Amino acid sequence: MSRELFALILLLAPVGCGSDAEPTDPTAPTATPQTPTDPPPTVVPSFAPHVRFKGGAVYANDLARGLELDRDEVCLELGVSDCATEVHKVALGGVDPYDGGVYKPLPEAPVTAPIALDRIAVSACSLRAERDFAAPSSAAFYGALAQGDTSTEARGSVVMALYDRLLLRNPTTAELEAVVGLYDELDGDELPRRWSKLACIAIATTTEAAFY
Amino acid sequence: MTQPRPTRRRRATGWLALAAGLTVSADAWSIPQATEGLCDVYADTRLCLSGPVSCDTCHLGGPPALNPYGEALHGELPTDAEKDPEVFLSALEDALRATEGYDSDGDGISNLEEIQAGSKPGDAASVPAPPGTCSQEESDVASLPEHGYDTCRTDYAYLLRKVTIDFCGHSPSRADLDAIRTAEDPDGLVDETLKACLDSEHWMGKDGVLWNLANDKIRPIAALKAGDDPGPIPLGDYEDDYALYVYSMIDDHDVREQLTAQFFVKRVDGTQTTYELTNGSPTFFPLTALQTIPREQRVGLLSTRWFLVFFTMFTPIPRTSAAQAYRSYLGFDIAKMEGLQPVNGEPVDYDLKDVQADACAVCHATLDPLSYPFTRYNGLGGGPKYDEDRMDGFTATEGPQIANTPEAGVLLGEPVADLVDWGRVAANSDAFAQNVVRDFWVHLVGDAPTPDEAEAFERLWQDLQVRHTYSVEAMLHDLIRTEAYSVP
Repeated sequence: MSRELFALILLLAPVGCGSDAEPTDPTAPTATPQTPTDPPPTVVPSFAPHVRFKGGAVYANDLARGLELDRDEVCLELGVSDCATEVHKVALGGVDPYDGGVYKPLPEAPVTAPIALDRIAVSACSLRAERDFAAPSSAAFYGALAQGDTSTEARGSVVMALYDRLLLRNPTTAELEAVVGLYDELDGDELPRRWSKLACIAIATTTEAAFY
Repeated sequence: MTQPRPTRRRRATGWLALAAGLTVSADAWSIPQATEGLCDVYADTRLCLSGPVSCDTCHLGGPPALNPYGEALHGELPTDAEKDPEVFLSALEDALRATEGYDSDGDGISNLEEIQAGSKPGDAASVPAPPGTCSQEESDVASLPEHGYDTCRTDYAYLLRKVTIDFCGHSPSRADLDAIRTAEDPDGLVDETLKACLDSEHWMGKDGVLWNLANDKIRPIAALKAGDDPGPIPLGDYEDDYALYVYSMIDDHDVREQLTAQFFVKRVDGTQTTYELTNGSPTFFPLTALQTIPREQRVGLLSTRWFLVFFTMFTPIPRTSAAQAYRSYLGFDIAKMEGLQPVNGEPVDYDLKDVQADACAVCHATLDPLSYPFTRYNGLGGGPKYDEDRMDGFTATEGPQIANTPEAGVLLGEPVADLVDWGRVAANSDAFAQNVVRDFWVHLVGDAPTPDEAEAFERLWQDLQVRHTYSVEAMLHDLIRTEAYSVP
């Protein structure tokens, strides 16, 4: 990985935000922060970066925890086989020692890896949005939008929450504005529902969400 | 600093030598002693920190073609050196010293500086890593809260995130990250997290991290599996092997048990997978899963039913078994000419495979004496068992001389009486400790140790042997604090 790419990831890496939430258990979310955090004008890149792909299993675990889904429902091909640990396991850095003789992760990610990663994110984000829009009163993220509030503030709260849960940091001002503004670039039916899915997918498929 | 370069005359000689090198036969330039000979001269350099150098230090990928550094050495060696290893070794040091000031690969760094720093003097793409230090100005910027990770020193939020992902299988919560940024004892928090994650299913369960580290060593095949979920041709249950492997690396067990255990381990599934030691076979039915080697002849993972039926099979002299053990547990792949330590008088060629031919003897002078201790362990054809008269059963097919194959052999230059002795010598070797730590380093850092990381790597495997009394978990508490792992 180039120093420049690593610098970008550093720029976007979690920053101390001083959340007011009381940590309770390891899976408990913090209270959604309300203001973006901007990076300093200069960044000191790593001298020896060891940035690594999370792998399909960890990535799916993180989506499940971040989006408050059961791990088993994050992504199932044909409604049966887990995307991360069965169908796309080898493409996403896993092994298949017993049947395929793949004893170690592939040295290079295959061309299907990003497609498989997108597949998992689309599945998980869609499920979260559909569930929230079906039961707005108990929604995890999209309750306000599901009840008709599509204001900039409502969308901003969603973006702040998604960054908090998926990337473990606050968005920068530019990121916040970009994702909130995505709503205005869409047209067609069911804009709140579609924006909710797309906002989640946009954040969940960043380099930062897939690497550590 | 101006780097000494070969003179024009020397360069011309070098090109002639390269041309000559490309035309000589492979065996003529397969001088396995060279890799150790070089490190005898440069024992304290980073290039030799992990043992003998690889062939591509002097060759273009592998013998016989020489790279520019090999070419330079060739120009300094007597003409008969390539035919006679003794002449070669006796002249090697002078040749090495004579080329120290050259910059053979033209990367601007002298051969000696490259050897000292651990990069390859014959490969322009291999150069010493830049010193990873921050200026005061950089350090001030990197430590700002809004900078994200602090790239100039251990960043505990970064470290906690890596430990949680690597050992627990998921990212920490935002609350965890916020807590460690303000913690009075962030080191303690990291230790607590690691301790908890070392007991996670992600780490020690079936198909977990530890389990998968063994795949290449055990080489399972579902079609041949016995026991639970058997395949169509059940020959052995490799899950016994996995269980012993995982057991040896949890709860402060002695990792050397991989090669010395005279017990088996049974995996017990549940909310929390556990591993139980047992002196008998973990499974008694079906018989295809039964472990049949008597306790006093057991040698950890080298005498399990799966190892014997899969690697030894019907072979009189199980060179495949020995090579697999050498590769898996000591890190030497003979197929890549690694770990060659020829034994005088070998190979004898007890099975008449023409291994004394020059091109074969290069490896077989090491491999055959490595293999003799495996000859008394039967695989297929009679089933896994220890039989001190096993070689007598091959005289009809291999000739009467096969019965003369000794059980004693040589490992790492040390005579070993039998396979139990082989396991003991291997487990106590530096190569074993290096291999254990290297497996985890590659898994957790992402690459083999670089020259800049060699010192930390060396400290880890030496501490594994002494300070940590071969406890992998104790070693891991140190590994996560290395700069390679903890500094973003």
